[in-house]
Amino acid sequence: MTRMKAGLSGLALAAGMAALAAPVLAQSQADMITPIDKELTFVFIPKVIHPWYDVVAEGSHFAAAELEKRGVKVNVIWDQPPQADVVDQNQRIEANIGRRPDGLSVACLDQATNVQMLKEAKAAGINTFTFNSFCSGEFPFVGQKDSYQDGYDLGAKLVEVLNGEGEVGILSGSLTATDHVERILGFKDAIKDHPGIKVVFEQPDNDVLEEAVALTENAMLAHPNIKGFFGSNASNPIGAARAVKNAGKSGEIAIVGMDDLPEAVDFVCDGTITALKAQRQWDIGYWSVIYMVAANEGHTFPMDHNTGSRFITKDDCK
Amino acid sequence: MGDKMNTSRASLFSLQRFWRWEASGILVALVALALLLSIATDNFMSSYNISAVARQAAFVGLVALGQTLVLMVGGIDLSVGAAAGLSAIVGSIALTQWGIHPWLIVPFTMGFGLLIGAINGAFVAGLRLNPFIVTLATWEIFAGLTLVITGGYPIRPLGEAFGVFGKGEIFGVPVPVVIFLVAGAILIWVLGQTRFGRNIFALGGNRDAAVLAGIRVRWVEFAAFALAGMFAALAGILYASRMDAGQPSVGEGWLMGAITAAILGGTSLRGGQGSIVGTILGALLLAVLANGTVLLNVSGFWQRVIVGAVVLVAVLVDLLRRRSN
Repeated sequence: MTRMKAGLSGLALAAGMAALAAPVLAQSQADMITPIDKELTFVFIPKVIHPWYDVVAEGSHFAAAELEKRGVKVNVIWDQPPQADVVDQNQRIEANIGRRPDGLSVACLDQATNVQMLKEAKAAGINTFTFNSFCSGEFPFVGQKDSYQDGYDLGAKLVEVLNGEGEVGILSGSLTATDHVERILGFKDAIKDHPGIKVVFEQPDNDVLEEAVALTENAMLAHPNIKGFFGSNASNPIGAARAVKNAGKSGEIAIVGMDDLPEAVDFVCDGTITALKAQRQWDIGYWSVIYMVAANEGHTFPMDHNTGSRFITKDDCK
Repeated sequence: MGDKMNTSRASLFSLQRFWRWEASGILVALVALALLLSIATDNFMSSYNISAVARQAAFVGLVALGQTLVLMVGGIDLSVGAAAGLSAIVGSIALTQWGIHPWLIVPFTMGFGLLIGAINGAFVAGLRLNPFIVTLATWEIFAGLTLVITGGYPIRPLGEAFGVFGKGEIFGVPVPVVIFLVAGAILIWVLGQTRFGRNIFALGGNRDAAVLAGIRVRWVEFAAFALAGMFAALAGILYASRMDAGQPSVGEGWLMGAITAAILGGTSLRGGQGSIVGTILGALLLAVLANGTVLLNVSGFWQRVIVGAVVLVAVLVDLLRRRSN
């Protein structure tokens, strides 16, 4: 009887082990990939219509064309708010949730409110990504994450160019844009150990080029000894450069700022702008599309792809 | 034969009455646009989308209700967007730092809005200053104070208990939409059934005649501006509840939407004429238009052109209607 019990227990154990092992044997990792059998629709919502995003869009369309050769059709839609308005951008996110795209990627204009809408998109089953400006670790992000470091690097560059002496001005962009605010923090931290560098001017240009021109002109009038400007976004180094060049002070006043819009690069090459910190926008668009396809296919993808940034100086004009 | 003629006469009469109504053009436009979008897109009529459109209309619509009152008395309030932002921030601080109960935050914020609206009212009605200039100045002051208080950072989180005002639903209808419709119904009653309502029309229609008729015009004008502040504050705090954050830049884009909704709804910029139903429909039309341009993949470059064109068409239709009447 005891032997029979032992035999039955052995059989039960063997059956249990076989049952556990069966799914493992049947499952290949390739089975975890879902083939794409329809055209995928991806929506990008930037902060605002801006030439900076044109390069991101180029990268996204290039990725779509490349994927089409592989047999994966992707329709990339850019839903661009005409103005940098938080309410407008959130309305667009909401409207696009209703559209039920296969992927949604948002450049957060406002961390707090955007996250709420992005959570709703995720809850609706949409593959929800973020790009350009980081807002939450809950969503995969593609872009330059460390805005503080960009500001710090540009601050260190200005200190180096001015030999640690001189009055400087800050064009602070939009006071509610987290990346602008972080860059200014980084810039101030970089110059704080150099008492010879004195911030005599700090004004928001609201990411409007004309305002940046006017503010720089005012700053030069109010502080005739001003030696440098820091621009916290893509528009204001151009605005500062236009004002400085119009005043005939190219090369006398150093300008450092963000991004590599064509006009900004021209100003670098003619010596009006000293240095730019350029993000890799094309890569941001390209990888965002690739990752959204990966999400639809069931592949793994990184939660954080830091595309970084690099200095652009006159040396790059050769 | 006689019956048929009577029926057709009655139909013609109804049609004429409809055409005389300030908001007839906007209602036709709204129905036509909704039909077009439901045919042209797959998702317009989905319950999620309808709910989203109604909620979007509610926020700007609440601001527009206050703006309508101000326009009716012959004024204009450029500060409503900034008032919404400042009120939302003060309400968010009251909730997160002063420990005011979540259920009291909405009335508290409306009270604050009433107060800052009263500042406009005091300058315009009390000192007889130009409302355009006064509210241009207070717009800057309110927007600036918002940044001074917050340093540009949002105030969050506001908590789940408070979220019910912006995210909750009553029988499937979003709470902000219910509040918007109730506010609209109250204003319809006030304008149609109370002496204050009649005085608003009288003041906007002919100020001198209103003075001669013994109407306390300054009080009426003051109250209209104060109420505009209150409605803006209500919109601001409901939006904060919806987003779980008091956001400094909220309301920046609401000024144009509020004025446009009121004008689309038949409110005259010269005062003395307007319709709350029209403003509600105007806000709905703007929300449907914004939603439609997204769903139809209209380029962001064209969206403002389209909104401007719709306003021009609505104004032209209004002109035709008034001339034919």
